[in-house]
Amino acid sequence: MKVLVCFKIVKDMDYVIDRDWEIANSSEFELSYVKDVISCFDESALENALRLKDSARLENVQCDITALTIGDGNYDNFVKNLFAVGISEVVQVKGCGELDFQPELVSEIIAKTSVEKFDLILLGNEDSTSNCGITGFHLANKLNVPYILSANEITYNNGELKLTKNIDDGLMFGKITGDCVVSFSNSNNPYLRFSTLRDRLKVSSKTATVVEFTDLNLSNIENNLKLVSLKRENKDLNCEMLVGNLQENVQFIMDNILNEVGK
Amino acid sequence: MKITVLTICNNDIDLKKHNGLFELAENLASEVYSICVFSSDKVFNTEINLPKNTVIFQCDFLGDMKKLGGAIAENNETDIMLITKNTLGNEFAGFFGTKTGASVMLNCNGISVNGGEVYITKKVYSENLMGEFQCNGKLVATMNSLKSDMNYTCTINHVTHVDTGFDGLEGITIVKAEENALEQCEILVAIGRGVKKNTLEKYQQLAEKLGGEIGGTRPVTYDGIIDLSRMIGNSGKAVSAKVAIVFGASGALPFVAGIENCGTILSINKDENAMIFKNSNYGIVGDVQEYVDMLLEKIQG
Repeated sequence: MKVLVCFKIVKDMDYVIDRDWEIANSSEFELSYVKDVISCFDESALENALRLKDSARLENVQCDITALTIGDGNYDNFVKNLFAVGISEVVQVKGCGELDFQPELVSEIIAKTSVEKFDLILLGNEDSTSNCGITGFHLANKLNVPYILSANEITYNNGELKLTKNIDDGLMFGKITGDCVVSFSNSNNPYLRFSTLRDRLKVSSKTATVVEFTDLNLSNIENNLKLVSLKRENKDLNCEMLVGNLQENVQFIMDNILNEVGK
Repeated sequence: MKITVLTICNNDIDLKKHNGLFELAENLASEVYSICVFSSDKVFNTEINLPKNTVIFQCDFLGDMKKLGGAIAENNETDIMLITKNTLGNEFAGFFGTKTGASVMLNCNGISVNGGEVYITKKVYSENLMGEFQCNGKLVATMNSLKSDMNYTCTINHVTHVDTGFDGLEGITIVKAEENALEQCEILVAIGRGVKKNTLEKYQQLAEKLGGEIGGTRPVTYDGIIDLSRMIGNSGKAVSAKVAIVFGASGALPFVAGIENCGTILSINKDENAMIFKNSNYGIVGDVQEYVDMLLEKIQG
């Protein structure tokens, strides 16, 4: 079984200080000081792919996972960690320039790069930068395979690929019937496992396969949604800080806040 | 310009959101059409509070929105399709947009037309910035719409049934989550990482005693402290309670997006610089455990 997992390296938005967003009135804001992370739903996709591999191994089924990312950054640390936790191959597409808010182009790059046939392509529902949530639709459409969104978990069991999907009021369970694209949202396995130093030393000579964007010979894809501005919305509610002691503050909550709803 | 407004209706609140979105569309274009999709077990009266001539579809909600998207695309030539944001609405938008070749934008906050150009706004960078996009060509967008109390009368003459099936999956079974009324509750008790797992019961008791519901931030649900169905925020539920008491949440904007429509927000956090205070009406710097204990004591006593 061959599985492709797509992941994006993004800035950890939780660590961007408030002041830096305040000056973000154009696209030229400074985030270089913020640490890189794997976009959270892509991280779920990677961990779930590894769990799929674990469950397939129990039934003596080989599962090879390739991880694909797009971007020019130095992702060596991520790449080493992915090899160490059990990813067979990592591909980095370079030279694409800025791809935020261009889901169709991203899907075209993934489709062109994954010329090798994969049984499954996994990715996150959306990334934490552009929050588009559209790449999977375009990718499945280009590859002419079904697209299953909002996956929670995927496992190999009794010779079948079992998928758990989030739905509005619970979970849906089913068996995957053929090649498809699956995107992960909130998952029971949200975090990528840790690698040990020994695991990392074992793969120290492995490196990502680099694919140059220009070698993909992509046809021109027009982006009909153009970002024209970015603004910080000031939503300060002018918080009134309660400075009394515990009893006084609780009494205030009872008298002035819960009282509003008759409690 | 022709605009179609579509809602996949899970409940009566979605009907009100549909009507709110219809009002918005009427302010943008003279030609506005209305489509609503209900689950196959919905029983209709002869009249429903939807815009006149609303086209009604019924399909199995567990089915694949791709087939519904294809069925509606066959008979719908529209410049802009505005869809009420919910999980199925977002799925439908993606499939409909790729089917029709339209640009797709999910979870948008506003739309305007200026000099014949269409502009759409959407929160990006994990809800930290508002992006404005200029759209050329056809557009499909899901919208965070406001509820409308407008009373419309739509006489139901015909309902189109769509057999959706499910592309890519078979042998489907469903396990429903423990039912909760998070989206409809009057009082919300929200917990963040500052709340310890072994004290969860206290917060559940507080929510119960107040006749409210408990919800949590993404880290809290990912850590298994409370169920995923109780996640609040842009990848969980949006709550519009009259009162929200937030315990130990830092105030990351994806979480704040889920409580911003609450009436009064009171937050308790030991960190005086926590971002949650900026998005609260009242704030207390203190130990969440002491406050939940004291609140329970007062309410019970």
